[in-house]
Amino acid sequence: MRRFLRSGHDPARERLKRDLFQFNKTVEHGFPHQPSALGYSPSLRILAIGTRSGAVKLYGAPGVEFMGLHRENNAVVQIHFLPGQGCPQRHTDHRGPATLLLQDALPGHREWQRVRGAGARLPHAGGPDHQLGHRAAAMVLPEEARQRRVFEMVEALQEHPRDPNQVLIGYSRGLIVIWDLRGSRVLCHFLSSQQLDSACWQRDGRLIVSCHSDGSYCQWPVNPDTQQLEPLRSCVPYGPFPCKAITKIFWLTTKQGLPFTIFQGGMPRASYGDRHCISVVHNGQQTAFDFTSRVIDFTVLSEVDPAAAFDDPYALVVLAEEELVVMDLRADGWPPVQPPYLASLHCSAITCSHHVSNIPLKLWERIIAAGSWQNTHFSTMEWPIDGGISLAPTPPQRDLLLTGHEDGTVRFWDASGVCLRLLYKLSTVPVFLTDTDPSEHLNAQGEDEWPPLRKVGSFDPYSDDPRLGIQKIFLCKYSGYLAVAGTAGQVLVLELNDEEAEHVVEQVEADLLQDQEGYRWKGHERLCARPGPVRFEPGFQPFVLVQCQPPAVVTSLALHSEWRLVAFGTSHGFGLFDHQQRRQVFVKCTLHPSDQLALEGPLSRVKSLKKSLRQSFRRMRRSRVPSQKRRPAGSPGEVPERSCRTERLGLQNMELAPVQRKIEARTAEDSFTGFVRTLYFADTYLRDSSRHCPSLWAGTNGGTVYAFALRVPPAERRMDEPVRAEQVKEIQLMHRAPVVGILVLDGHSVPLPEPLEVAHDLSKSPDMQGSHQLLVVSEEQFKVFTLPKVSAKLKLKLTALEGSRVRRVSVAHFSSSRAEDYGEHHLAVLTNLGDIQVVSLPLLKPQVRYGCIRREDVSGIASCVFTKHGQGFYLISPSEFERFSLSTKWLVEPRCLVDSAETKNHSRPRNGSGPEKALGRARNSGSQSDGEEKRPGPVMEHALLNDERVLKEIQSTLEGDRGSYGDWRSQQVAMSQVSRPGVQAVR
Amino acid sequence: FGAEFRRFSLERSKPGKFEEFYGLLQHVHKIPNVDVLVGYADIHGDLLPINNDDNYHKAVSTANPLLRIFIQKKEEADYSAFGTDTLIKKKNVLTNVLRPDNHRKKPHIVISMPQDFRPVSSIIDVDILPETHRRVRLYKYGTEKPLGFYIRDGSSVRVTPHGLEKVPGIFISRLVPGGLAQSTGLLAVNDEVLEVNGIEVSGKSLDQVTDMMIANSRNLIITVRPANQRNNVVRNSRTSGSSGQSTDNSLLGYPQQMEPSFEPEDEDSDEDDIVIEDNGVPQQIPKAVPNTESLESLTQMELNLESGQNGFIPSNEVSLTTAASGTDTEFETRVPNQKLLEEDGTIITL
Repeated sequence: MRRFLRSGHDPARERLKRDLFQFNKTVEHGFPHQPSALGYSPSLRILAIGTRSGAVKLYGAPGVEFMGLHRENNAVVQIHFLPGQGCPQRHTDHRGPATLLLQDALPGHREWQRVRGAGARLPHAGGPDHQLGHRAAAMVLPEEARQRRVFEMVEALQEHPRDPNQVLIGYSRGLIVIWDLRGSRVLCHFLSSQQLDSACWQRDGRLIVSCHSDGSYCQWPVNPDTQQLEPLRSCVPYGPFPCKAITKIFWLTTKQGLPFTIFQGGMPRASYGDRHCISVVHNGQQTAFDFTSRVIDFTVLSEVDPAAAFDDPYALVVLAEEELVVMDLRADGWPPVQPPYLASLHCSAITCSHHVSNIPLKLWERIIAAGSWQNTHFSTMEWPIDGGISLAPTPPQRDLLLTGHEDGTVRFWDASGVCLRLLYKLSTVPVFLTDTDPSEHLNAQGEDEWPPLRKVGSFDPYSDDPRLGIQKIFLCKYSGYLAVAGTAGQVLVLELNDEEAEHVVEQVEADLLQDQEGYRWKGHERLCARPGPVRFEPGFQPFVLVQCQPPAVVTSLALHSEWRLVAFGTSHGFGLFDHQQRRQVFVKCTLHPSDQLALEGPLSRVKSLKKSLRQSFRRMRRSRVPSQKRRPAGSPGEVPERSCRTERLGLQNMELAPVQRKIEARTAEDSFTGFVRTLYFADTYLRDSSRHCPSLWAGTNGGTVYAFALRVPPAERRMDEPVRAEQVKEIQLMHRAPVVGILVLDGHSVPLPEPLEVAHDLSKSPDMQGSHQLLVVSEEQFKVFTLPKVSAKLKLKLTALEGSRVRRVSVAHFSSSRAEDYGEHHLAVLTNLGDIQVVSLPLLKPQVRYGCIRREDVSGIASCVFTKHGQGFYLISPSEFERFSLSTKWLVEPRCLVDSAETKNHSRPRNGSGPEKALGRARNSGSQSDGEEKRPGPVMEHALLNDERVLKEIQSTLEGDRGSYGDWRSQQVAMSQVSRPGVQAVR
Repeated sequence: FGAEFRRFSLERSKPGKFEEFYGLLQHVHKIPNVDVLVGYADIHGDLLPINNDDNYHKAVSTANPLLRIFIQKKEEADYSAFGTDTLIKKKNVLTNVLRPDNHRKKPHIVISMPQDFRPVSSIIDVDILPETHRRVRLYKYGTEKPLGFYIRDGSSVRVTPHGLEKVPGIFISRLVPGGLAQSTGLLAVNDEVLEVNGIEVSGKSLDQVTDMMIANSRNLIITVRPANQRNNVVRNSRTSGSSGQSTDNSLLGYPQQMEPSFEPEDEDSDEDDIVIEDNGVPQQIPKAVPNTESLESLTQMELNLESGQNGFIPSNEVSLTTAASGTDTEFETRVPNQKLLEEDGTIITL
């Protein structure tokens, strides 16, 4: 009955819980998955990206981020910013920034909506007008054009840059007309011999540039008086052999006289037809920027002031399928600009992640310095998209997120604030001999090659060798030691060095099978280390390589920088390595002799988490149908339909053969019981209560915990005497569930500090007087045992109670939002159902529980990582981390402001002075309502509109305030977004 | 029959007959003419009797590595001492027998020689459950049989305030021949699972229920609504109107009565994690004792400690420690400082 007598009804505790815990999903880091549309507001200097899943994300200056999600899963096809004109009639539909309006776009109405979007000054756009446009075009067309019975699709629709009454309409068959809206007549028309793909005006409206399906572009002077039969100039930039279509073109004038021609596509069909290129031509220079993924759209940032005589472009913004690339058009060679956000987390697939809180300034600076060596190719230009003002406070501490990748790299991200920024990239590849030598790639590109291709962007999903993949990372923030372990049983210990260095990486083999003879490993070979000295760039440089034998995936890793020891485990056993003396201390085989599966090969035969994670990533990648169609309106409509059908078929199959689950107790003979899940170093009482000593703990998949007493020589004799280890305890949990966490609590029931934490004065010394306790977390239970004599003290049976299993567990310190210096240590737990729970220490009482990740999202659950202060990250797509917080105090979220009135007529809006118009505050809160914090008035610091309820709240706030803030509406950013047919408006 | 113990070795492969062993015991302890009751501690810490060839062989074959034998005078024997959980658990035999003043029970009437028995799977809580439901305890303890059943998703019809309603449910889909579920005959295919160890499963997914059952697999208590309602016990005390069909909504009706009666026992049911200290002898992890130790528990602790360290166990009168194989001497001669990495292979054979 004890389970019913929880302290859940203690009002004081309930109050305290409210001060300590609160769940919020705060910000999405990374690059939007499956982007489908790009929009840019030159006046607001805000970039918008729409996705196939219906999300729209707005980015301005670093820290300025908004996000909205459609209720229905519809692809965003186009995004247009509607400049607010203070015309109430027109704007009733547009409820404000980040409020998305999906207009009913019927097939065939698409063109007209483009007029609405682009022009925005067109009076009362609607069905009849649109009809008029079409009919009128047909009526007034000259004879020769009319002979081509149909004009087909409207491909281009552009308002005259100076005169809003003139609209350029380009039909796919090659006809271009300039339509006078006031007079409802054709001003002039041009007829091209080629299929038209796009067209644009020159800034002064005297010239039209059209691009065509044969890879050519033509210039047409605009003169209503004389009919132009031939283009002024026609050019096939990558001829003479057949070329692919130029799908979009920009013609931009400069003060110097020579224009910038920037176009997408047009590559020679036979040899470069598969490239995703955008070419920039200016002043005799020509470069074809070659992207590794499909180009979705691009835009050019140029002079905003309509009165200015020239465009003077300064940046090219390209949205590719997997990354955003910005090129500096003012600097020589048009170098890329390092983006402060929208980082492509998945340049190579993420295989693991590791978070380190509160990095000492010294280490932080050294990592940044190492990273700056790698970023020399970037332009010095400040980030050109700088609309809005970030109001977020400076992050209170420096946090690092380390991601391990399939290609053997580790990326160091600044995770302190809203913008996840790449600081430094470490590659473990130079240590090994791989099939492809990186130097070959560099030589592949000659000097006078045509077309002048230049690879840009960092997205590179191809891994030379899957064995290079990083599986575990452990960084000691005090000493700068880093341990990295990978797929082929490789464990590297690295040290931070500010200088370039060339040295030999010492190699050691750890035979984890020991005496087990007669088994044959059927998995991959181990990696071959590069012989001789290797040159390493400044940064983390490996000095020891331990290779596990058999070379199975490293499943757990721990580093103790004070004792200079690194422990590693695989599905076969675990070992301890002394990286000071570069000597193996011991290895221990944890394998059950009958476990053939684990002996023979990698986890390929059994469904493992890692595998399913990888598979789902692959599936995601595959599902991105690289559609060559230019018109995205058609293709996204078909895709869901097809997938719907297969889904339905799948469901039917499921009904025919219902899913069964076998109910069986776990036994010692189950497969992978020897799989080492967790390793933990502790200075505790292992043998008797009078002496404490260093110890190493290991937990296996079969519910066994091993404890080894270590004897580490004192510092002065550290190099002379060997480190000794002796097994002292072995605990077999009878429920045999995998051990996922081991922790020792000191005499005050506080978790032992990290190594060197006390030495750096960042933690109180642990209490070594009272008796220590051992916490063992299995997938099913939490158990506290006494030490040194192991006796069961407390337990929480999670699975037996609610049927969920522990996937991730981590100690977190929760600070109170009220009392300045009050805080508690608890366990942050993620279950296989995607719930996040807080379990108290040391009494193991469940505190709070929030739904966080969908239970079907296996890769999201597998990728979750907790921070030391109650925040966490998980992948919502291969390229995006969702950041969440369980803490009331540690909350990193965008707080920003976009004021349309103030910036409207600015060409350089960096001065944030002037009357601030704030927007309604709304933070999406998963299960807790923070209604009491809501201020009346139009204050919107950040809107994460993926919560329907929050969306409604915002809506009502805005509607409710309409009367009292009359001028507000005229100042708002109105953003309309055209979506595929049959979409409802989000209200 | 004080606290005397003997230690000798036996050939594990050829234990011989019970009569011979009985004679050997009498010989070793020099009690040739005393009728004694022989018991042994099995791997779960249960005190079980040895009184025929079969259980004698089982005792020898399961010895790990020591066979701890307890000998009592037949006329003084406490039959209630035998059974599950008797050695280490709540009723501590050793404490009882070591302190005879604590031991004032009337001797039981011997009906027959106690066999090698332990609790078995059964229907429980018949008195508090509605007739349409059945609570089954699958007692896996110590048996080698697999639980042997599968569950699936399905839907069942419930009577709700809004009329009949189809709700998702979890059903037994298959019984493995020879498994515990089938051999007990208490569960059948298409029985609807309502609770697992006192926790309702409604609203839980198939995977959750699977995990809950596996987590409780050592002492699994499933409340089902049998597909076949004809074998229900008809209880006279019930109101006569409750027939099998009309009580489908009884789950809603009797929540209080459904209060499971097995909770306290359940708390202890999996407390038998094992720790192997550096001397290499596996032992069960005791429950941590509160600071104000009772005399009884203190004794227990000491006894356990001693047994763990010496490999011997004191008994009520005479304790024999039978080395079932040659491993015994190995333990004795082992150098304490020797690295234990090499020896574990022989230890983890639990």
